[in-house]
Amino acid sequence: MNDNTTPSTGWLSTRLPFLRPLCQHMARFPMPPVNLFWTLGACLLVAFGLMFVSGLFLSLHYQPDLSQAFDSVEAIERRVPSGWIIRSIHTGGVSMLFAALYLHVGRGLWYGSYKAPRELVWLSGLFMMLLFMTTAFAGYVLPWGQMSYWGATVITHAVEAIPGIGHGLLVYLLGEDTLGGIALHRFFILHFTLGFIIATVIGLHVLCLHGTGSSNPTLDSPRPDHTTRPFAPFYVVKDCLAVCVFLALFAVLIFFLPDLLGKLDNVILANPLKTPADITPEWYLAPWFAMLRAIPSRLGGLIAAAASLLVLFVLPWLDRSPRHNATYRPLVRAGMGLFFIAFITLILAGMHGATPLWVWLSRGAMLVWFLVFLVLLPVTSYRERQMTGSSTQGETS
Amino acid sequence: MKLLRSFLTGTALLVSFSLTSLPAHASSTDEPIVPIQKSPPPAEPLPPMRPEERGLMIFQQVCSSCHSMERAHYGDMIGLQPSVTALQHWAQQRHAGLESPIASPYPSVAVGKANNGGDYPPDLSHIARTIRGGPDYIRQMLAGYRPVPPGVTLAPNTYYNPIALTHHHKFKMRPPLHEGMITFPDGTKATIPQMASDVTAFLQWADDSHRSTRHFIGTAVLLYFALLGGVLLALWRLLKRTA
Amino acid sequence: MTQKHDASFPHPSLDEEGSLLPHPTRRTVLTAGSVALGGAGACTLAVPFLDSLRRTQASSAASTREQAVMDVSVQDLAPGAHKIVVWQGMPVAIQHRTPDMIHALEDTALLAQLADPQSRIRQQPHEAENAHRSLRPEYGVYITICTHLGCVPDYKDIASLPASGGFFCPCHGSQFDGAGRVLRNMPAPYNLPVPPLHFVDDHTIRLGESLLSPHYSLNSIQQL
Repeated sequence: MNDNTTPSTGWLSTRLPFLRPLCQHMARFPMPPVNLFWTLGACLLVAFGLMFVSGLFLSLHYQPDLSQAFDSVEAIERRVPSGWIIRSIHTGGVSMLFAALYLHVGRGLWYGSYKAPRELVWLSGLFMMLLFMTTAFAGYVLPWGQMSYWGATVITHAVEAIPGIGHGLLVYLLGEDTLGGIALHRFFILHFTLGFIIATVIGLHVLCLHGTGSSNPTLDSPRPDHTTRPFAPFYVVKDCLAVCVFLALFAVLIFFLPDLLGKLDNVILANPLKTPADITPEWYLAPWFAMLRAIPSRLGGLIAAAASLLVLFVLPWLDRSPRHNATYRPLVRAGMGLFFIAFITLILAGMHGATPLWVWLSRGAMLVWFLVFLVLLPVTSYRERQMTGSSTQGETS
Repeated sequence: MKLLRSFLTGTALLVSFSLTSLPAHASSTDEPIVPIQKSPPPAEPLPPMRPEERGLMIFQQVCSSCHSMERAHYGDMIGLQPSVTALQHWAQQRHAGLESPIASPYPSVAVGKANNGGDYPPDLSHIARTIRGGPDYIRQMLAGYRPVPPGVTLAPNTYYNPIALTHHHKFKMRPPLHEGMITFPDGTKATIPQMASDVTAFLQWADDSHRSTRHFIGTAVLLYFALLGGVLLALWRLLKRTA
Repeated sequence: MTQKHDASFPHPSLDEEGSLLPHPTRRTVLTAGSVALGGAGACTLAVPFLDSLRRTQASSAASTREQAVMDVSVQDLAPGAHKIVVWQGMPVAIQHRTPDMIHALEDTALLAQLADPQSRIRQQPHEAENAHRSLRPEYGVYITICTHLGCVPDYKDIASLPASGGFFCPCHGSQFDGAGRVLRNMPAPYNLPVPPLHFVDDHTIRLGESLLSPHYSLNSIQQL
């Protein structure tokens, strides 16, 4: 993203006239004085790129067939040259991607990046998060190990809870009564296609961001800083530096701690007659698994899990305060802090067995989740608007 | 040599690993599949073997007579036994080829159970990872057979092993290892603890054969990022002051 | 962070930017260094991905184990008949010629139409560089893979040729005579290859092994 003024681009820029303005826009894009949390987007882009490329190469060797899926994954690990490196990039990458994704969303929550005029950035990002979660779930089924099979069985049966059409819908989606070859093929196509769809949504997300610009974390502080720097070269280098650290952590995970986040039972071929002793999802989907489990009614759990995500979508309209940064909003600061603790609690609860302690902890965490977003944020925002309104004499948003 | 090999397989230069290491090891290749009674002349010192290489010999001669390793193919053992002909010979003895999975010697689960006191010998492909207690358990359990203490009665085809986790120490696997049952070409004495340790190393390798390569590449990658990060950090600090 | 300029890295090309900055050379060096390092890293990352496209050890072992030598009985082949066998994954046509067909191969009208009537281009072992382009006149053995783009020509009579039999490629219409010799001005540049072979006895052909030219193999020919 350099300022392309060198004569070598002349040939291209006459034929692609938008190229030079685009590069100049990218390079000169004014960046407010953002902190290191604003580099997570670049980390996510790199993580997604690695997932995309490694996924493409894995799909050259993977067989989406009931009798061959597990063996083809073993063949990638044991026989395909460098196959194990590519697969460890893919399996480790999903954890790195979700870690960066949740931090990225958390940064948006803390600094109020969801607010007007950035609603579209927030909505496209949330939509992308849902796509990532679906992709990760579909991808986890593909190796057809014990955890793949039983995780998919448990989650797809949650669909059955939808009253009236549940069972019919499940059979329609799976293509057969139980999880089998047809469903496996569908999961593969879903996983493969979603990669390309996500790539498109990333483009939309960046497009929306470039319409409004990045939010400024200093605006609500006592000393707001309105200075901006062009994106290149300072923020390019800063993003590269963050990506460098991110990739180093990535390397530690896949080269030195490959079993840290993986489930051991997935090296055993799926056996529809034997459920593994402790069936828990991968950590990045654990919060919603904990929610499904915390509510005794199957339908209730499904509704709660769906609502927990939907509430994030309406956040720009729940919190219409002109103030963004939770650091300078004491109640929101406490609320967001509680929400982050609740989120981590739900991750841990989902990864542990359904003991009463964890079930009650996840119920508490769900309560915090909904209270913060549905009560605390609207109330605080109402009060803040009143205050701002009285101080600026009735300025409306 | 080990480091070089890791580098070759790991960064995966387009040079075939098996081809480059084949001539160097050709002399020691045919040993594992010769019958046990034929011991090699002890006079000539042979290159030292890695524990998992000795473990493969034990697996070939002992474990594989009851257990399968179905996720691995005979040809996959090329990492421990560089001679293709030796591997082919081993596979042919078991009516298989290099690309066949190392299957159970029993024609059916029922036959396997009947031959082992009712317990089917588990597949060993990922046993080091999936068994409760992991490699340490395997190592201790294999060397853990003891004479039956007074007051304990054993059913037929049952063996007393205080380490074993199943059936309250009344283990169904007959003691697999015996002193001196294998002659290792590198002169290592085949004691029971030695063999238990070697075969455990082999089972770990079979579960995760890229471990050493992975660590080597990981170190190189981290060094690279330290260097790149250093340069970028210097550039960033420079830009912070100037741009 | 030294303040002095590094005199060993003059970059006059960046003067327009450098004049504004106090440390242009240091910045240029660091930028170039990180771009070079990053590029090298990206190239190294590509290595495992490209490596994974290499054929696996198992399949390379399989190809070396593939049956290189195959015996074909021609006892059932009546004069004038032919059959197709598969040797190393390739179709091989074996024809049992009648005396008329053998005679037709030396017809001057035919030879005038051929691109390489004397079989000068190495598409056959030396023992088959003769009028009938085979070891024994009564048996012709050719790999029926068109030398143009690899389609499989059919064995059929070609109208313009005397009764020698012939091969016709369905893809681009290349025509070959009964001895696999390509006609002039055809898309195919060379004659059909002759595999290494010898006769074990009068009725058995062994493909994949030549007794008279032991070093002849499909690697020795001009083009498959």
